[in-house]
Amino acid sequence: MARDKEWRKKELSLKEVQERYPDIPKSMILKVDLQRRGLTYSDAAVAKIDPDIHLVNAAGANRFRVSADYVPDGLLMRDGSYLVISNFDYEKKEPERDPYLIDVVDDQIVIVDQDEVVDWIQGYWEKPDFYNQKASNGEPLNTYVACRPQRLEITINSYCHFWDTPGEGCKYCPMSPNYKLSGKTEERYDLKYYQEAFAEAVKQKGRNTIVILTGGSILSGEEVLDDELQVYMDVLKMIGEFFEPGQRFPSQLIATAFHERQLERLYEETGLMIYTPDIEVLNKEKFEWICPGKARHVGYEEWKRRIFKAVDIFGKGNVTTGVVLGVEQATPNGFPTEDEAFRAITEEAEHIISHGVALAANIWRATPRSAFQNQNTPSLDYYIRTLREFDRLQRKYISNPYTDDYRRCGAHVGLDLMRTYGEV
Amino acid sequence: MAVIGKELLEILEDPQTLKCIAATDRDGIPHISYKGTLHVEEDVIVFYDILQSSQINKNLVHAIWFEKKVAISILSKDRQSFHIVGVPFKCVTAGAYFEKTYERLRAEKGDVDLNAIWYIRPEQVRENTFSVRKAEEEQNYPVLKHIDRMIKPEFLEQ
Repeated sequence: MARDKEWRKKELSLKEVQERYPDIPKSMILKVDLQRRGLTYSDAAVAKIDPDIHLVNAAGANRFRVSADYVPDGLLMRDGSYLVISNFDYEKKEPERDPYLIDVVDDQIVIVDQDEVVDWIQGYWEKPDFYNQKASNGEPLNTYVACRPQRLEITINSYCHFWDTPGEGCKYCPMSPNYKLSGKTEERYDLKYYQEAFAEAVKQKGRNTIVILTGGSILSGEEVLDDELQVYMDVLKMIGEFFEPGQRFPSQLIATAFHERQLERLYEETGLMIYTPDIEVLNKEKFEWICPGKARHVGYEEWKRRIFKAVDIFGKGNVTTGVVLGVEQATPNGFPTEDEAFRAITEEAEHIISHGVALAANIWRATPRSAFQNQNTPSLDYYIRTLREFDRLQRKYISNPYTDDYRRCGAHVGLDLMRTYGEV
Repeated sequence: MAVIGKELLEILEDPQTLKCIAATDRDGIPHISYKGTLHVEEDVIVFYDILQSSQINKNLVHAIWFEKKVAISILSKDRQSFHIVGVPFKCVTAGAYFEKTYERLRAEKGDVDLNAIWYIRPEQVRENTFSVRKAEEEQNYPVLKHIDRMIKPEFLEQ
């Protein structure tokens, strides 16, 4: 049962939001609300999981969660898009709002709210062939390379060093607390195991369209972030061996904001295509409060400057930045109203997007073990109103934003709207 | 859901048949594309979109999102034509069946990709062959014609 039993009376319902924004797909609004409220599975829906076929609790994908529930890693929606839903834990005992229910009606998997079927889905994400194999050290290959339906994902560092100084970790993020809870002692693995897993993964035909690298920040090195850069470059060079020399390959790096000398090395010495330094919060003051480590080591204005510099190096359309949408309203220092938040962050969004940088907006969930775990997230109306404005700005400023779309991610559902942008 | 008859099923299976699909984008601009892979599976129209950036895929995504209809036109080798109106209801982009189809298409067609497998529920099917349509028109709208076609020939000759 929800923490606030009256929550439905205090905000617009799914149907009301769908009616309010007839130019936004109903299915996208539902996906945003699924991520916002979370979901549970009926026994019949769990019985639809076949562990030989479906992705359930994949080891390499769990940096943001500790739950070992027997539930699918993600959903296949009927429009061919994917929904990332199990990568973060949800508060189960007293959730902020009632989650949706995944159930089965007439042998079809459906999404239910208050006993009403609101849509049906194709099914659950399927497991790639290499997940059944082991590395030379006997560990499952999915320890080293994870996946979504069309992407391979390598998380290099399971710990974020902004957490080295107490109070400097990003307040919405559970990754470093989860790492400490896991009892792991190695932040990352030997390069050869990533190589073994990648070599098997790419053998599967018709599955993968991109490889994503990400992980926690590493602050050490001759200059700050030099070691993080080197670790990613080592892996990118290893992956580059699988392609023709000098060829850029479909790849994305979600990392800390490197300065221009580091960016030039990254571009010149590897085949990386897309660079995504997540700014997370679209307001200087809120950024400094919510991401104090990023603020102290890089700074808000400098982070933005580095994003824009990356566009000069990687090209327009090949640089994106992620935000944790909604976190700007966290208490006590966030914007006090949704209108104020909307005005402030869309103005800042326009500044960033006008440089040719697409915004990958993730839906904030008050995740267990994050500093914000007991916070309240914004209304569905706020999320849709804001994502709709981001989309309008992207259509205005970016002619070629296809590189970070639903195929590559499935988490930031606002970018689903790019699927109908004009031919590129 | 409309039923696709045996005659049209046979025409759809003929490799010489021309099959095209029309859908509009978010601004209402129509796009028509020939789809040789269009076929029927269990009364549902299915085709494979083999270009990753195709406009018809964008328009079909728009259609499935906003419950828009699409039109399909079929022209047989002996110029029988059919018009189908349908609703896209499923788009498959991943999974074992998708990968199997991808491999089969590449074996058949060479270096092609597979963007999506589209499923369209037919809502209206009708033959559009000229002789059939003309006969229908004459039966249903006997006076819908230029008057000179109805005048007795002797008056036209005067």
